[in-house]
Amino acid sequence: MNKPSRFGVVGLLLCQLAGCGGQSVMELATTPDEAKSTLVQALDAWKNGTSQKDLSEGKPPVFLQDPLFARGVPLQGYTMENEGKVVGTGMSYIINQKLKGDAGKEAKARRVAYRVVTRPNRAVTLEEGIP
Amino acid sequence: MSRNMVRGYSRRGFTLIELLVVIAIIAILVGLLVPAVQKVREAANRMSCSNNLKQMGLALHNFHGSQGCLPSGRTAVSLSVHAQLLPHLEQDNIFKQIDFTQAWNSAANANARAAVVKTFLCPSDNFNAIPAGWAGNNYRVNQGSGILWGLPPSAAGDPNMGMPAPNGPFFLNSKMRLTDMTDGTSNTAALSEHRKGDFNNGISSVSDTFYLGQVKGLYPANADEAQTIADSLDANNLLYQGMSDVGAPWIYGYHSTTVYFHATRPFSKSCMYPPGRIATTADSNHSGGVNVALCDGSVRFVPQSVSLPAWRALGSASGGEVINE
Repeated sequence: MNKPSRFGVVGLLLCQLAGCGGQSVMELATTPDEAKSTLVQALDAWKNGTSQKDLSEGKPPVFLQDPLFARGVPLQGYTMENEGKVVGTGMSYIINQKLKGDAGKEAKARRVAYRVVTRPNRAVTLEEGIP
Repeated sequence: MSRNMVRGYSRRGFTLIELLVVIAIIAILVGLLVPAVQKVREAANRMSCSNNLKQMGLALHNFHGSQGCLPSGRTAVSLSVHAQLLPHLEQDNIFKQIDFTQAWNSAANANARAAVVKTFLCPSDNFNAIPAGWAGNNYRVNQGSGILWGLPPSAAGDPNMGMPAPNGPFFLNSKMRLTDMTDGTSNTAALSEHRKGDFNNGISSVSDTFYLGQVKGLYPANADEAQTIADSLDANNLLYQGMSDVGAPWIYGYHSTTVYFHATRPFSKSCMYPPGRIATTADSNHSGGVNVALCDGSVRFVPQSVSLPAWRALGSASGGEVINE
């Protein structure tokens, strides 16, 4: 393999310093395994009645951003619809959830997508308008 | 050889003191020069940014000339104004790759989604790393001074029932004509700018869009309450980091990629309050303000200190306000 020329490297460096670097590609902020285990950890914690604050102060802290979780609506169960796909810098999963209904009413079903990143912090975020 | 002969042949060098003095002088000169160079560079970047907005403003007028109205703020499948403007920005090749019946994230639009358009990038935003398959954007269209993201609902029981309709030139399926702007095209903002986000909800960045949900006390009834919440928000709390995909991809007609509001002051924290209420705003890396393209095609630099009533008046197309600044 040819070594990059010294002039090429210096030229690239000067170009970057001059601010003409253009768009570069970001690395993923997770791996599929890490993302899936973090999502399961977060949803299990919700199902077991853990509060958003306690989850975010656990070890390791997980930040689950979902307005229903924040408001304390109980999660009765969930299933993962897919094995996740890369979206942006994270993994996106479609989840079917069963949430406790209001007093005397049936459980509510909900189909949502969560985006998961694990570096530098573990964040699970409800995706707006998807699926 | 005598000692005097050796001395006669030796070359006299600099002493350590002399070298240190020279290095100190060079350091002082560099210290004076670098800020000056940076200042000139930022001025050039700001001008280049202003030129990008000018190009987009002219493209809006060309679009209006050919279609009889401005492009809609976003299409029914959430494609952006930027996507609709491409033929008027000499980007016809990218435009032809867009399937306008498909959503921004469909496989059919993958090529266009990743295509970099230099006119959409402010040179002062030095955050140039973008997730694979997306291309960045710094410019957004004005949805107005309200906080309703969609159109006013008609279903009873909808939490957004009774909220005023968007009053800017660009919103869902809008097709506004320049003659519809009773405030005048020179008093109505068309486009402004916003820094790109960090694309990672595990990192706190002020340029992201904060996600507040219906947490008690954090669901604004109007633009004034949205400003109060944005001012008091702890940007370092990762529980509020809900939308970091800010400024990409440009093909996506969305409040954090290609649309902004005049509800809160420029440089305020951009926030989303599901369901349906949004207050993203303009910001930039320019010192002290943001560039704004008005609907008459001119570009102004609006200072960060602009009064909130004037900023909101600039956002509405037919509010009847008088702008005194």
